[in-house]
Formats: sequence, structure tokens, C-alpha cells
Amino acid sequence: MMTDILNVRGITKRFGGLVALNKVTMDVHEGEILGLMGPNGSGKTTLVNVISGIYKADSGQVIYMGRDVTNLPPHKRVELGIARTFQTPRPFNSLTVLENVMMPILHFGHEPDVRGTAYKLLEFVGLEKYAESPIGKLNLAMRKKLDLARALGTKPKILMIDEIAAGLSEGEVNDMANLLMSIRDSGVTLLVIEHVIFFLRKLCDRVVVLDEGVKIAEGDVEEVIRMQEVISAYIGEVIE
Amino acid sequence: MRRSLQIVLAAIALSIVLPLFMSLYMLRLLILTYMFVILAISWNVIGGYAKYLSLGQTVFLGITAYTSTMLFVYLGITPWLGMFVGILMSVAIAAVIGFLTFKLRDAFFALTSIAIIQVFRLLALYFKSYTGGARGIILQPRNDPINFMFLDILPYYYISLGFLVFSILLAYFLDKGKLGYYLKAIGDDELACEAIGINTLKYKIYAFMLSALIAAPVGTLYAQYIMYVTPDGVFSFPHSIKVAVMAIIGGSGTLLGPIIGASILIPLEQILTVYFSGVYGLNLVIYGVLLILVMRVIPGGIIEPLENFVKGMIKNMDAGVRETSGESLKEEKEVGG
Amino acid sequence: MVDVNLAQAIVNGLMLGGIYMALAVGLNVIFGVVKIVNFAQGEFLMLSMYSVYWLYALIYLDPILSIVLNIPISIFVGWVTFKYLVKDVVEKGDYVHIALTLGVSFMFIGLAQIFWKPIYRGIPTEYATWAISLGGVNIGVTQLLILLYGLFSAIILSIFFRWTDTGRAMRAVSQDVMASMLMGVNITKMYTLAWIIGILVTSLAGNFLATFYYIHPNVGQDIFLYAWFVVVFGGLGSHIGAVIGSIILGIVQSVATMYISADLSLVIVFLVFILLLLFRPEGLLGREVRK
Repeated sequence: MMTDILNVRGITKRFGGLVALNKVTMDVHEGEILGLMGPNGSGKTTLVNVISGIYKADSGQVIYMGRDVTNLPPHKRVELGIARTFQTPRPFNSLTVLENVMMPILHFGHEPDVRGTAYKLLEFVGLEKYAESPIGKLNLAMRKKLDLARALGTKPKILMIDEIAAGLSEGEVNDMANLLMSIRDSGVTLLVIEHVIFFLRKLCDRVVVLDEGVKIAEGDVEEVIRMQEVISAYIGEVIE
Repeated sequence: MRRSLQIVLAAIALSIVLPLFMSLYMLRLLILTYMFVILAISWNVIGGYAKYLSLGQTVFLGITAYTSTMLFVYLGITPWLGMFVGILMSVAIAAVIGFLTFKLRDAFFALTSIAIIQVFRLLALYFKSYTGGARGIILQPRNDPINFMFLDILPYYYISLGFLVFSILLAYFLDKGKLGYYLKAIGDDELACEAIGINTLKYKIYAFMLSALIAAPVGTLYAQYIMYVTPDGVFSFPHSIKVAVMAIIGGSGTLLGPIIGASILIPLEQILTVYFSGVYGLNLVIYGVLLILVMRVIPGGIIEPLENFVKGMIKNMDAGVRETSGESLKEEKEVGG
Repeated sequence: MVDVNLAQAIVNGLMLGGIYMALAVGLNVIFGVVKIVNFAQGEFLMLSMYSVYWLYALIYLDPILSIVLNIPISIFVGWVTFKYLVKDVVEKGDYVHIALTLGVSFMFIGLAQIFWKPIYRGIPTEYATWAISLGGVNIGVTQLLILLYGLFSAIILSIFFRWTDTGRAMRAVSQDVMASMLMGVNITKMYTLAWIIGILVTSLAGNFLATFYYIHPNVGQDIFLYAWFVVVFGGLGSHIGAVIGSIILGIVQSVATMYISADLSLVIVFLVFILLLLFRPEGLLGREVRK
């Protein structure tokens, strides 16, 4: 029997008159890779921001491992094991690559060897050569990997990944998909917000589709992308 | 590492011995410079590392100045002791202000910090029966070391030197320690900090308290040195801006930047006052133009080109000595590609 | 039973609010579109008041009439400052914006002190003392004018942003730079225009202010601070918010001055400001924005 690591219950979020999320409900099973797809402006990132606590939902609840975390500040949620990366990587520019990854480890203090642990994480994502470099030396794909390594430094149980394939070459996307799978194999549940369908196909066990803040579909990737609602939501955008 | 330690020790030795042979004018200038260096260091903790532009930094100077002076005048408590009461009050008030205002970012925080220093200034003006209103509280000069009063200027000099060393030490440990990392990260990207579990509010409050701790002792020193405290003198918006500007011009968010900024600008200001005493406003123009130039050309401050210059010199000196230098250059190129 | 003193205090506050309003509207345009916190806005008011003063002193031109000349002057000043000082740093963060505009503010104040000396000047207009009396409450004509100017500029700008193509393009820029760029909007042009409008609205307030207020290199500093409080108070980017905010702040200040003390009235204004920011950081009429 599968257990849920995260339940999103009837989340509504408004910005002024705009309803960004409308009573969204979804479950994330422990150990899976769940894809969250939808056209631009459909509310994917807003949902991640609500789950990670950056936005306060107008109504609804976020339940994490059976516990209501709706009113916890972002950093508390990270402590419990909810981590995320950003659509555009947000490295600390005045720190080196290694120091970036050291930050969460230093902060949580569960590892005696901060540098060593950070270095291992850099090795895991393949950035160890750049450990002592400034952020300016990294290209987009590398920055995205750095974002991942830094998020892994918080020892997450669930990691939300926001459009990590966007802007990458096909080779880099494949590379990234393999990396994400090895993260899942290490026991981290993944919620992958994505646009690129072939990436989702390769990666996800299930997908949830948002359109204009409403959940319009949920289920197996192949089934979902053939559904009429999904196709019409994507009209005007290239699916593949 | 050892070389920089030697430089520091030499600098301390010089600043202890040289003043014995200096003119009164030079000593005054040094004391003033030291006080502003301390304030710029204090500003840098919150404004430079965490990038929260405080434009009311002398509020802590004012709180301590009024606390120790009023305790002395009304209750006869020595300012040496009053200073610690003042520091405690400053740090406590920093915690409260921080808790209330650090949810605000950028311009909002800057504006609130102006509002706060104005509130203190106006309150000091209003409660005339305690603070003497606009005329302030005046002390009578006498030689009374137990009560932090000297007729000679040298004791003031050494006290300010002591405070300076204390503040540089604090800044050094901040820069190399955990809090320094946190604040740099907060200054870079607060959202990313929250995303890796850092309680940014907590560390910003710590930073503000540390910043108050560094600035506060200057309050008592200032009061005892110039022998009076006025609302406009200590809760001074212009001085607060000046402190921020000096640190930014020197190089905010670095250990040496604020020290360099204040050490250049205060003497420069004094020289201009001597040579262009009739031209009121020239200082402002120079501060303004420097600030514009730094922001447009070297946002990192004067320290940036200075550091590169020094590094270049050291590299040149070491080039002949080290065989590995060629290798390390190659490595750097690889990384760059 | 309305006390005449209270009524007078409220009317005074309304007029005071008019001054803040005239400045706040200009700040709001610049912040709303260019996203720059302009710490030199008060100095543009100061410079404008000096040009009004010199036009009066040299060719005896009435402050209100000199609006005609002040319009091209302000547009020029706005254009030059944007092009040579601000343009290159628009993309940088608030930190750089504040520091740079602080630098501009220092430079202008310093130059004004050097050229015109820190002395208080004024323009003795005939109508400075004119007042309308309503049941024992006096309304100064010049103050009324600046209040009307503030309201007028807020309304005109609201119309501009809502009903003209350029205005709508500017709003689009303020909401999403990337998208507007893709739609073919010339971003730099919009920024330049918004900056110039902001400077122009503030500068023309100088014409009205100069009819009854002192002229001094530091005149912009205090007013600027209150104008900023008004903008934040009313909600950034909201013109109606700026109007309401300035009226409330003006009345609070004026009533507190009459019944408590002038010094404490400012303390109350600051505290109201701080409290509001704490409990409603987006301001009275502001909205939470999507990051």
C-alpha cells in the first residue's frame, strides 16, 4: 500500500482579482516522481510557492506526512524535509560553489564534516571540479545542478523541482533526468514541475495537469497527454 | 596569513606610539576618523553583508550617549558604567526594531530606519525637562578619569583606538564566522536562504544587535569627548547617511571596505573644510559624485580596484619564487572555459 | 457640534496633504513603472522651486505663470538625468538605486548650497495671503491650489494609464518586462517617459509651492520623506492610494500639531507609518504581487 508524503487540500490563492490557484487538491505518494504540468501561467510555480510556504494560501491546507504545515514559515518546512529548487537558479553570488552547498549543511549541523559532505554532494551532481570557483564560472545547466546540490544539503524527504529542463540542450536534459532518477533512488520523493513532455515521459510515474489554476487531469503520463482537456489547454503551445 | 598579521601588529604599534608626537589637530582628526570607522563597520554588518540599507545607524550612538550622560548628570553614575547600560539598551532596542521591521525589504526598510531615527530625535526634543531639548545636556570639562573625563586629549585618543580595535575584531570574527556566511547569503538572496531552511529573520535580528553593539560605545565616547549631547548631534539623519555612504564607497560587505571608506572620506572632508571653508556644500557634492561614480563604475567600492592592485603586486613578487604558479594559472583557464 | 479649531486643523491637514500628494504622485509613477526608489525626488522639487524663483527674480515672472516655462525645463532635466545617471542602473537592484539616487540628491543639494547659499528665500506674491472663509474656517488660496494640483495630476495620470496606448504599455512594462519586450514595447523609451513624467509632476508642484513656501537647498528633504510615507501608506503604484494616504497623513499631522505639539505630531505620523507597514506592508490600497 502506498503512503502519501504530501497532501494538498483545496488550495486557493488569489492575487488581487486574479485567481492563481482554484481549490487544487492532489496527493504525492512516498518515493514516486510526480510530474506537475500545465501551460505558462497555469499556477504550477504558485503551487510550489504555497507548498514551500513562500505564499500563504487564501484557503485550503498543506498536509506533510500527516501533519498540517499550512501555517509554518518556509524555513520550518525545510527543517521537516520539504525542499525545492527555483525556475531560475538562485545561487548565493558572493559565495563559492562549495560554500553554496555548505550553507544548508552548516545550518542544520547534522554533519561534523561540513566541507566533506558538501564536496560529496558536488561530486554527486558532477560539479566537484568547480568547488572553489565563483558562481560566475557556471553555465545555466551547472547552476541548476548547484541548486539541486544545495537543496539536497537540507536532507529533504520531498524535493520540488521547478522547470529544471527549461533552457537546457537535449543532452543536458537527459543528463538531468538521470540525475533526478538517482536522487529518487536515494529515497527522495520528487515533485517535478515541467513543461518539456519528453522529459516528463522519461521521468514520471504520474502527472497532474493544471490549467488556469484548476487541476484538469491526473494519472499516467501517456494517458494524460492524450486527454482532450489537456490538449486544448496546451493549444497554441508546442507540446513536444 | 603571517604577513597580514605582521602588518596588523605594525599598524597597532604605530597607532599607539605615533600620537605621542602628533599635533592636537591631527589627534582630533584621528579620533573623529576612528569614530566614523567604527560606525561604518557597524553599518556594514547590516547594510553591507545583509544588504539592508539602514539610514538611521547613529540611533544607537544616540541611545548610548543619552543613557550614559543622563545617568551621570541625574544620578551621578559614572559614564564607564552608564556606557554598558547604554550598550544594553541599544542592543535591546535593536532587537525590538529588528523584529518589527525586518519583514520589510529594501526601500521600505530604508525608509523605516529614517522614520525611527526621526522618532528618537523628536522625542529627545520633546522631553525637554530630561534631555534639555534642542540645547541638549552640557558637561563641564574637568580631569576626572573615574567619570570618563579628561582635560588632555591623549586618553580620548587611546580609548577610541581601543574601541576601534574592539570593533575591527568583532567585524573580523563576523566575516570569518558562521553569521558572516549567513548574512552574505541573506544579502545575495533571501528567498534562497529560506529555501534551505535558514530562519532569515532570526539572523537579521542577530546582525542588527551586533551592529548596535559595535556602534553603541561610540555614543558615550562622543558625549564625554565633545562634552555635550544634543538631539541633532546624535540622532542625526545626515550623519547616518554619511556613515552608510562611507561604507558603500569603501566597499560594502567586505571587512576592509568601511575602514578604507571612512579613513579616506573623513580626512578628505576635513581638508576641504580647511581649504574651501567658504564653499558651503562642497562636501555634499563630493560625497554625491563619489557615490554616483562608485555605483556606476565599481559597485564593489574602492576596495575592489585596490585589492586587485595589491594582489597583482603580490603575484608579481611571487612569480619568480613559485614554480607552481604556471600550473595554477592553467587550472584557472580550464575552469573559465 | 464641530469645534471650529478642529475644523480648521482638518482643513489645514487637507492642504498639507495636498503638498505631499503632489510629490507622491510623481514618486509613484517612477516607482510604479521604472521600479526605482528615487531618493532624489525631493531635490527635483527643490531645483524646480529655484528655477521658479529665478524666473521671478530676474524677469519678474509670476510663479503660476512660469509653469509654461517650467514644463520644458523639467522635461529637459528629467531627460538628462535619466539618460546620463539612471538609465544604466535600472536593471540593478534596489540597493544600487537607493545609493545612486542618494548620490544624486547629495550632489544637487550641495550644488544648490554652493551656487545659491543656504539662505531662506521666498516669493512675495500678492495672493499668498488671500483666503476663503467658511464659517470661521480659513482656507488659503495658494494651499488650495496645490491641493487641486495634486488631485488633478492624480486624476490625469489615472486616465493616462488606463485609457491611452502609451499608458497601457507602461502598465504592461510595470507588470511584466519580459512579456512587454516580446510584444514589441520599447522598454527604455517607456522608462524614460515614466521618469520624465514623474519628474515633471513633482517639478510643477514647485510652482504652486513656491507661492507660499520657503525656498532653500534642503527644502526637498523633509517633504520628500513625508511623500514617501504617503506613497507607501497608500499602496505603491496606486494613485488613489496616494491621494487618500496624503490626506490622512496631512490631517493626522495637523490635528496632532494643534492638540498635542508640533514635534510629537511628527512622531505620531512616523509611528502611524511604521504600524501600517507592519500590519499591511502592501499599503492601504496596494496589492500583493506575484513574485
